This record gives sequence, structure tokens and C-alpha cells, in this order.
Amino acid sequence: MSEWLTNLDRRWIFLAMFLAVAIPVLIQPELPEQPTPIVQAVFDKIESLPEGSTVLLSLDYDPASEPELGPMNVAFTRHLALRGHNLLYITLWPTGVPMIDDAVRVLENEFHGRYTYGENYLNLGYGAGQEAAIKLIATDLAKLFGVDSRGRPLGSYNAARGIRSLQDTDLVISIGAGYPGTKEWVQYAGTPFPEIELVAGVTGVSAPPQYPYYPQQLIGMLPAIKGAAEYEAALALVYGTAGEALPELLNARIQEMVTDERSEDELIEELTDALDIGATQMQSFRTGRINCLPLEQITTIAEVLEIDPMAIIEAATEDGCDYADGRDYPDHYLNYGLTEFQTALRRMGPQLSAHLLMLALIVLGNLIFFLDRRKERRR
Amino acid sequence: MKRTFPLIIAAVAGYVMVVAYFMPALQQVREDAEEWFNILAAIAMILGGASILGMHLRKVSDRRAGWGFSVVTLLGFIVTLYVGLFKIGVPPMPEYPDRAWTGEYIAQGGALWWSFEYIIYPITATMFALLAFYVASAAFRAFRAKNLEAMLLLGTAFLILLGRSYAGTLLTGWYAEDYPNLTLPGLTDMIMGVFNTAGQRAVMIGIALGIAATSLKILLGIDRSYLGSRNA
Repeated sequence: MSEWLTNLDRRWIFLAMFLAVAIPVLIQPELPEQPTPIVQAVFDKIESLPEGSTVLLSLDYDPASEPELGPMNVAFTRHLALRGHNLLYITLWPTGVPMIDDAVRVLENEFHGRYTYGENYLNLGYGAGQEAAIKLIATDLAKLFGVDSRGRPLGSYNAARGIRSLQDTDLVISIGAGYPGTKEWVQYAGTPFPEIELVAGVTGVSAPPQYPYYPQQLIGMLPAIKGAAEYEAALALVYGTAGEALPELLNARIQEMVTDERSEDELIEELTDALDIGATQMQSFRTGRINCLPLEQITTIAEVLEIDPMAIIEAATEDGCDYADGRDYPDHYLNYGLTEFQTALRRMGPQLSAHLLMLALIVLGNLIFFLDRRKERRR
Repeated sequence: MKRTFPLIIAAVAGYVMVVAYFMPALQQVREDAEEWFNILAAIAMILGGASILGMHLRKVSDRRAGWGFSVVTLLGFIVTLYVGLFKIGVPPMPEYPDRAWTGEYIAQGGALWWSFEYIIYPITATMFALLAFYVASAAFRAFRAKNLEAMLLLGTAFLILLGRSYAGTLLTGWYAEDYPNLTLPGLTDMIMGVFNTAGQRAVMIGIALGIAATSLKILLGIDRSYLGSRNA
């Protein structure tokens, strides 16, 4: 057995890794995350900015790091747009331009009508020169980004009005996978110009070298996909809510319906199945965080909880929802507690099983090593 | 002259940047020099392109080992350059429907966008994803507790791998309220925030001192390796 393991064909290991990642990708387990202080600091910083602040996002990564950094880009964009800030996108990587398009797609799809190009956000494209580019725009943005990606002068856009250099922005977000990236932003923007406030999102590999910069040079940081998942959890906690009246009504009704034959958990499970929703959204129900529901869901809830649908609509209206003149809310509309908006959280399942497999392989490898060593000593 | 002139340029540029850093009156000179750097970087990109072309063309013409790969490189280079520079397939901007070249060079639907979306994107993502398989194989074959240092490394890897996933919360979450720093995520944070930060700072300070010493050697003309091996 020991010999077979010693000479184990590495294709078996490859197969095990494939299964460890593929199975959770298909099953999509929901693993809850709590924001750690380093991630919460980023969230709180964005929350504290007054509405209409100007934030520059530097997306310094390419498709190789997109699975890890893409969710950060999307989560930052959503959060900043929810807060009504002006967004300026740049990249210091030639292959980073399409990453800006990912953010623009979020603004166009989820904030359609509320966010328009030029008024609320700008794509400034690629800036050549690595750290020299950062040094240059720290004192004069127009020297490198005189025009946007469409070739028009920045002065013609409201989104960049009054922004002459990085020092005029309210926050700089560096999402970086290497060089140039967060380290260069700290060294050439944040440190020489203390008025430039920096937060970052980095890959797991490049996170350890950035830790010494927290919390002085970097206000906060999203380290790796776990950092992105924690940020999504923080976003869901605040922007997965609508009010108190509806949750109070539903929770009270659930308590009323609990009997010796049917526990609260069973009732919740029945409701989850009837609504065909995920555990995260159901958690929102239980903790009193419910968004404006589509009428179809209201009807289903009314049936399961044996309650008048109008009572639910009245409670939702009290929470700020508007069902007047036949208005309805699309399913999953802007409820950031939903799994479909939580790409990073969904990736924590494959990450967990891959980590566990790695640990098992290390243990197994060392077991064989010590067994072989004992055999050699006996000889 | 061939050696002295570049030496003088490098030394003068270096001294100007150092002096300008400490003298606010010379701030404009410093900013101008930074702009020159960007222009030079753009020119260097052209030189780099020419160098790639020359190197691979020579390899193909000499039929050296692996010349087929050079043909692929050359084709990729030339086609990308052509479709990018001439905005092949790029739709014009809605405001100027009659002007073919008004669209962004990487606008959706263009040939460059297509090559990025369907060639570069999957290739680079695949290359990176393959790492997971090789790291797993390496973990099985090479990560051995042979001595004390290796055991420390192994122990840290265990804590981080568990602490940075849901396993950490699952295994130690039950006493998180009483002893948050002793949970796996808590220990991971401590390793990253204390041991890692201390080590990284030491490395950073060492590198910074090394850069300062090397820069001084270049400014004084002692280190000439940047001029090429024959001038070192």
C-alpha cells in the first residue's frame, strides 16, 4: 500500500482536485461569512463618504486573476453606486481594459437610468508607465488621462468636474494582481500625498506583502476571494433590507403557526421550498431583512402562512415599497442578500473543498514519508 | 563616447530627480521628467515589438529548434497589431454613425475585442487554473516535515488553509464568543497581522536599503551593468 502511494500516478491527484472543485461548483453550497475588521474598514469607509463623492478605481489585473478579483470589482461598483458616488475607472495593465467593461455592465444593468456615462461614471482606459503613471496623475490627471476612452476631454464630463489630480478624489480603490498594483499605489500616491486615501483588493498570493500597510497607508483591504466574500456579506447585511413592518408581520405569523406537530424550522423549510429561494434569502426572512417582494412571492407566502395577501402588501408599503397602480417588483431585484449577487460567496464552497483536499494530501504525503523513513532505519 | 554619453544621461537624470525631491522649486522639473519617462516607455514598447519581430524572424529563417512556435508568435503579434491599429470590425460611435474609426479600439464586436474575449481570456484563465492541479501534486510529493523549519511551515500552512476557509469557523466557531483570538480564523489573522507583517517589514526595509545602495552605485558610475554585459 505504502509503495503504491509512493509511486501514485499524479493523474489521480489531478482527478481528485478536479472533483473537489467541480462538485461544489455544481452543488453550490451556501457558506455564511462574517466581515473581518480589515474588510469591514473598507466597507465603513465607503459608507462614510458623503453622497456624490468622487472615487477612482484602478483595475490592475487581467483575466488570469479575474475569478479572484472580478467579484471585488463588481461588489465595489455596486456599493459605490448604491451610495451615489461618481466613479472614475482606470487600469495600469494593458490587458485590464475589459475589466472596466465588467464594471460598466453592472452599472448599465443594475443601475439603469440612475447611472449614466459622463454624468456619474467615466472609463478613462489604460494608462502606460506603471509607477510613473501613478506619480504623474497624483499631481495632474490630465497629463495621462486628458481624454476618456471615447477620446473626449475630461472637462466635458460632469463626473470628472473639479478633479484635477488624484488629490481631488475622495477615495482611491486599487484592485491589483501584481506589478503595477497596490504596492505602487501605496508608494507613489498614498504615502507622498497623505490626502489621497487608499483601500485595496488583492489576490491571495499578493496579500501578505500588503499587510504592513494596514491600517496606516491602507484604510482597509480585501485579501483574496475570502475578502471579496466577506465584503459581499457586509453588502448583503446592509443592502438586503427594506424595513421592519413586513418582517415583523411575517415573523409574528410564523410564531403563531408553530405547534407541537410543526416546529418553526419545519415551517421555514416549507416556506423556503414554496418560494424556491436560497438559504441566504431565507436567513433574511428570519433576521427581519426582507426586500420589496414580487406579487407572486407575496401570494405564495400568503398561502403558506394562511394570511391575507393585502396585509403583506400593506406592511411592505409601510416599509417603503410601492405597489400602487399595479406596480410589481421583479424577482431578485436589487436584493444584495441573494446568492446571484454573491459570486465570491458562491466560490467559497470550491475553495473549502480544495483546501481540505490539499490538507489531506499533505497529511498523506507525510505519512508515507515517515513510514518509509522508519523502514529505512529498520534496515 | 558610446559608454560615456549614456552614463552622463543616467547620472544627470538621477541627480535631478534626487535634488528635485528635496527642493519644491524644482517640482516642475521633476514632473517634466516623469512625463518624459512615459514617452520613453511608449517608445520602448515600439522597440520591444521590433525586437520580438527580429528575434522570431531570425529563428524562423534559421529553422532553429521550435521555429514553429515562433511562427505562431509572429502571426499572433501581427494579426493583433493589425486588427487593433486599424480598428477592424469596431462599430462607429452612435453619435457619428458615418465615421468608421470613431469607435473604441476594444469596443464590443470588434476583432480585437473578439480575440481578447475568446482567445486571451480563456487561455490566461486556463493557465492560472492549472496551478491548482500542480500545487496539489506538489503538496503531496514535496511538502515534508523533514526538520523543525519545515514543521513550522507545515503548521502555519495548516492553520492558514483552515482559517481562510469555512472549515475554520465550523471547527472552532463554538467558542468564538469566549476566545475569538484562539479560533482558527483568529489565529490566521494573528499570523498575517503579526508574524507575516513583521517578516514583510524586515524584507521591505532590506530591499529599500539595497535599492538605495544600488541607485547610489549607478549615480556614481560604479555599477554599469544596465549598459549591457560588455560594459559591466
